[in-house]
Amino acid sequence: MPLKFALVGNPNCGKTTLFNEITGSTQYVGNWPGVTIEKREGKAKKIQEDVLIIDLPGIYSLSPYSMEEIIARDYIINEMPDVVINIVDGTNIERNFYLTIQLIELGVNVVVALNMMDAVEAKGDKIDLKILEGSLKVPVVPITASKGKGVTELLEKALNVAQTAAAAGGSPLLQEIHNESIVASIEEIENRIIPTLESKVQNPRWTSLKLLEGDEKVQEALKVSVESLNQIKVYQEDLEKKFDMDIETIVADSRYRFTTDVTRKAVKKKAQASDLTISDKIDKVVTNRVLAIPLFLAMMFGIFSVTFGTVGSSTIDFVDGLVNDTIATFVLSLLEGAGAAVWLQDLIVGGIIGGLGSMLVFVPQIMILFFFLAILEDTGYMARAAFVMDRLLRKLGLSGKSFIPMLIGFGCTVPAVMSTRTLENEKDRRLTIMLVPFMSCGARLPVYALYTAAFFANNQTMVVFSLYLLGIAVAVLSGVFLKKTILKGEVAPFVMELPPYRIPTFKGLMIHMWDRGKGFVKKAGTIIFAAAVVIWFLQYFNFSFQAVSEPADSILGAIGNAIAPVFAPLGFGDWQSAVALLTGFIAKEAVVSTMGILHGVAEATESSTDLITALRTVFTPLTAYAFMAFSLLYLPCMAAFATIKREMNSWKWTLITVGYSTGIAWVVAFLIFQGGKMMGFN
Amino acid sequence: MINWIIGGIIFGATVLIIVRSISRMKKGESGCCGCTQSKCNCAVK
Ligand SMILES: Nc1nc2c(ncn2[C@@H]2O[C@H](COP(=O)(O)OP(=O)(O)OP(=O)(O)O)[C@@H](O)[C@H]2O)c(=O)[nH]1
Ligand SMILES: [Mg+2]
Repeated sequence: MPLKFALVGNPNCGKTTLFNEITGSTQYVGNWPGVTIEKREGKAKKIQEDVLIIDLPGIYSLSPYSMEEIIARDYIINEMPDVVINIVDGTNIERNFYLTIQLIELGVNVVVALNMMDAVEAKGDKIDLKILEGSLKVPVVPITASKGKGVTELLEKALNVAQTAAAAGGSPLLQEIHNESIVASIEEIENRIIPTLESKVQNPRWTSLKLLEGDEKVQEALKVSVESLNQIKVYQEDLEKKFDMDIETIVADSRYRFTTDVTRKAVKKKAQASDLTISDKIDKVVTNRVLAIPLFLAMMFGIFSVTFGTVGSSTIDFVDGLVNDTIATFVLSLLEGAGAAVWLQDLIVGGIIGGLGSMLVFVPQIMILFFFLAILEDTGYMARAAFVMDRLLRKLGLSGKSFIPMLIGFGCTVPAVMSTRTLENEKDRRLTIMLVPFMSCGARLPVYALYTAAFFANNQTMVVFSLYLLGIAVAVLSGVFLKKTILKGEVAPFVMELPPYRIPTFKGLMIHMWDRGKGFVKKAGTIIFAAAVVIWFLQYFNFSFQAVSEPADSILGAIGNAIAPVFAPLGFGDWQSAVALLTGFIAKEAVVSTMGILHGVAEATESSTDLITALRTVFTPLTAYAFMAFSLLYLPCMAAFATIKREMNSWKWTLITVGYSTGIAWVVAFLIFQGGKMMGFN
Repeated sequence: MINWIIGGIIFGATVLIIVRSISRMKKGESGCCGCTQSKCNCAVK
């Protein structure tokens, strides 16, 4: 049996950073609260002993107010980890200690990891560890998780605690924290009421405290009878009369008093030159009512210009030359030399290399984009953007909490849909799930990159940017529309805590970027590969499985021709586009790889052209734009579809979501094409 | 001969990938978003 150490702490205090540091894994770290929403386990690599580390969602207290708090609390109580490593943000000790106190009350083995010591030192504050250890009666270890400092000492302390104090547990410190009349009531409940309960009580002291506080989850779990509740009520009312406050406040109040007291004794803050910190000053500008949104747009525009400007485009030429010329030619000569049949040559060169190559060409560009987005995220700017958007969305009657899933949706729809779990209100949650797919995820980028390179070479940045904005606009308008019609309801209040600005760690940025690149390549090697082979097969043979000379006569040609009329009013009624959109359901990148195969990019024959030239004969700038808009908005990919189904837990709503987005996509593309034509574009 | 060997490997791999993605999706893992973030279920347990 390995020892179990659980990481518990407030949101955004660096738990996942520490987890990654100890276990050597690369879980997602972001500078905003609520990044981790599920528990994760990993084996500790830094020490000899067999230790399992558990990363939990961030929580502010052990009172079960939100889903995350329930997950974390249930874990600590039911799974009984050998040590709870409580991570405390050293720059915000007072607030973080509220949770620490509750962990200590629980009587589990606690080791406090005082994180962000680098930031504390930079601010010039001094923390007296002796005083902290003396008042809390638990070991306190200073660490800097992002640099790996103090982590080994922390693990040694935790091991020490696990081995020496395993059975005993920590002292719950009730006398120190709470007023004597509260302690007296707790003892009375423990002695008189707990023994009368039907269920066996694991931790009578803590349970008594919770019953006194009126914790409904504990009452439910123990099936406390009405009689016992009435008996408890007597104690509660006594205290309420005495302190002239309700019981929850009384208990919380004594905890606050204790934390304030400890903090005052142990922390010596350096006198600030002015009342405003640098962080406050930046916030004044970036969350300014007038400036905030233009600033956000300008920032995004800047990022897109670098990605699609000279730097980004030069990577395309390089990879394109490598894959579609050098590798394709080499493989072809190899196959010819080995005497491979024509169909095999075509499968490998035209199908696989052509299909995957046309998508992989864009990987460096996508990695550049995500590198910049990671900077915005890690510095804490994205959280400000969410805050600003919240103000805007609320005016439109939408919950600001929807914005975080939407933000994650720029990366990938799947985690974005999962992150809607933080929305408590069922209707808001459904609404958000319906809107998330309109956010332009990373997989759509190859489509834009390809089409803008072919048709908008001079203002790629502008066009890609406009597509992102189109997605946001459609999402916001749909939100307003849906909220007024099928998903009526109150707007849930949302309090977003702004994280401090931080300088991103190089390692963190690399993890973000690497994750993206790896994800793309992995996807190319699996799903896109399979799709390419199937597409190749279907465009090579006809229904009687004979090789065709014209792909239009193939099985795929027949399918494409059958559905193409649907897209004719949108300006792209050719069978290749229809098929590409169909395969886009497998993964959005497959739109590009399918185009690559159907337009014979890496063709073995003399008619070899590059995809961009081929597309120019089929599309015009106007139809290309309509096509990109359609690809952005229409049904999400298979993986997203499955996730939506799982999270909605209803076929009806899943189909509504998919039908809605596809319908909107058709209408928007129709308006773009017909409207554009009327205005004289082509 | 070589045609059938290489062709067999490619089609075999394709079938394998398809079957695996379907079974992963049934189990509730998204199988194809390719990310390893804690927020996705894609990361191998
Ligand atoms: N300066 C400094 N920053 C740190 C340190 N540890 C973590 N951070 C930063 O703090 C932010 C939050 O880190 P996470 O590890 O995602 O925090 P978390 O506690 O897992 O957050 P949730 O999952 O939202 O509860 C990131 O921007 C980290 O780079 C540290 O020791 N010093
Ligand atoms: Mg986390």
